[in-house]
Amino acid sequence: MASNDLLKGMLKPIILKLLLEKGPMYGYEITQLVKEISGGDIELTFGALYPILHKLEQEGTVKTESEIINNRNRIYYSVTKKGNSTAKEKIAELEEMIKTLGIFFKPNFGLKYGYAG
Amino acid sequence: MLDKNQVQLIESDVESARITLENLSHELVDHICCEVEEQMGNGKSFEEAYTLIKKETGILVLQKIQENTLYLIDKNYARMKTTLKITGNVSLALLGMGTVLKIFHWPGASPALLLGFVLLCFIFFPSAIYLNHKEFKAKGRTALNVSILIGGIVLMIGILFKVMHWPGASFLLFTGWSIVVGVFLPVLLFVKIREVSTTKEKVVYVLGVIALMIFEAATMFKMFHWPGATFLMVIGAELLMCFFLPMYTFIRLRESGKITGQFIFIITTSMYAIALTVLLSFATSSNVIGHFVNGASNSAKILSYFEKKNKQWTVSDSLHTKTDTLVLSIAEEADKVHQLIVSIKLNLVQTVDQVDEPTARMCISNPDQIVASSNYDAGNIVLLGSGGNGLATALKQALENFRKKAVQASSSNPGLSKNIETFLSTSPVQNETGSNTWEEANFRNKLLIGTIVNLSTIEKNVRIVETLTIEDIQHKTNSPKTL
Repeated sequence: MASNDLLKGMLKPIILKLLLEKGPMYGYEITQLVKEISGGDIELTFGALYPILHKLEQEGTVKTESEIINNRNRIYYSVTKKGNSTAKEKIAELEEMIKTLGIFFKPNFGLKYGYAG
Repeated sequence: MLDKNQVQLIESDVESARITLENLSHELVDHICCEVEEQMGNGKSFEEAYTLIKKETGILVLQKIQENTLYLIDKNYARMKTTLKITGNVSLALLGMGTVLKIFHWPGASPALLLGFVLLCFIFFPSAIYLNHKEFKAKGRTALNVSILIGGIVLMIGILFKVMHWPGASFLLFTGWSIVVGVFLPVLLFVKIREVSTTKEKVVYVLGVIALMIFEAATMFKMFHWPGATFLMVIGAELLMCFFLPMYTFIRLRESGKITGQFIFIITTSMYAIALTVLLSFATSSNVIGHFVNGASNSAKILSYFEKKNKQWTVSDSLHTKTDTLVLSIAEEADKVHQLIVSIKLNLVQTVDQVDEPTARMCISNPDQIVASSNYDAGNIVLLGSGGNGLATALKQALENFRKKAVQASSSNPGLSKNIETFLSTSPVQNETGSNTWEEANFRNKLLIGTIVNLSTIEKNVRIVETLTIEDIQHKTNSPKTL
């Protein structure tokens, strides 16, 4: 299971990627999907999820729609037109980061000759 | 799938966490419902499933989520929370330090108190109210927060003015108190009644707020020396301690089944606060004032003895001194001091109690009849005035005139004249606040009853010197005859 500290900065792009691909989703759905995709390795708690969703909404990246389902209000989140490019940027940023990080964990940092240190 | 009642139960539980962000509270309800539904899908009953989920989604957890959300979306919130923590600690430290400095009469007390007060009332208090406003919502909360913000700040500034003996303290205290008693507490009552559902709880809250209003009003009455303060205070304190607190405790215990730390804290501190306020106000009236009243009546007895004794020299059948101009002029100067002191006392009593002259005269001979005997301002106004135009300067002049006469008359007796000089000294006085003029040292920021006693002491000293001087003259005149 991934630790919360490591996840912190990556949650925004992960949530945005899911919203971009799957369309409107509500909070519980997002946590379940993250769990499913990661095979249970990443557990997105609702305590971490909702503050980020509200922050994204405030920035204008996502918008909300309320619908009454099973006797209660359900809030659906979807990426706005304006947020589309921001979302793609953030996702690309994370992908770049993962690539860079990958280098660090190759044997000998992927360098052909030993690190001249 | 959950039915309407089950959803309502979850909704009311989330509501008790007082989530202000509307969407967030909907989301939390939905999220908890989904989790419960998932557990029920595994074959659990609603109760079992909800009990399990509740462990992870208690009120504190929900509030923490709102706090984290506010941190992210509201820059003011984050800033204020930090400000709150820093200013709260700093102002508390400053006030504590200022109080210690003040008690030991060390320098720096006033700046520390002043800075602590300013931080507390202009930064800590408003940010605390702002945060409270953001975190909790309820009908009438805005009125509640605005009234306590204004009333509280005015009241705190009033207390600062009172502590520093600045003019205008009474007006500020009166305004602040009126807002708290007249606006804040009624609104609080209104809000509380809306929040609770059962009649029993409503009765308890009505009782509590009314008792608090009576108690606050009593404190105000006491401070302004209006009649009826003690009666109100007893009623308010009795209601609070004997009815509200036990009933509130009972309800809270039945509600949660266990006692929380916060609850214990609230009960103990309110008990202490009430007990201390009551004890202090009674102690002030009975012990401190009583001490002064005793002093005043003792002075009056000694004074009347010397007055009688001195009279015998100047009445017609005292052959030797009737014509002695020196004795007469000393008696005349002493009487001038006496007249002036009587008029100052009358002035003081009439200033604080707003009574007619006969009543004021009666009060002077029975100081326990003075209503506002613990007033601090009247002495400053009447005796010191502004820029040395108070009556203390005239009193000093009269005292010096008398002293000059007495010293002159006893010039052949150096021991006596030296004693008179020190006994009736009007030179500046050295104390912990540095060098003070005689007027300042005797009359600045003194309890009214203390000032009355002080004036009586001065008069007593004058009469004693008068007796000593006249006896000295008498002795010299008579001695050749006895030889």
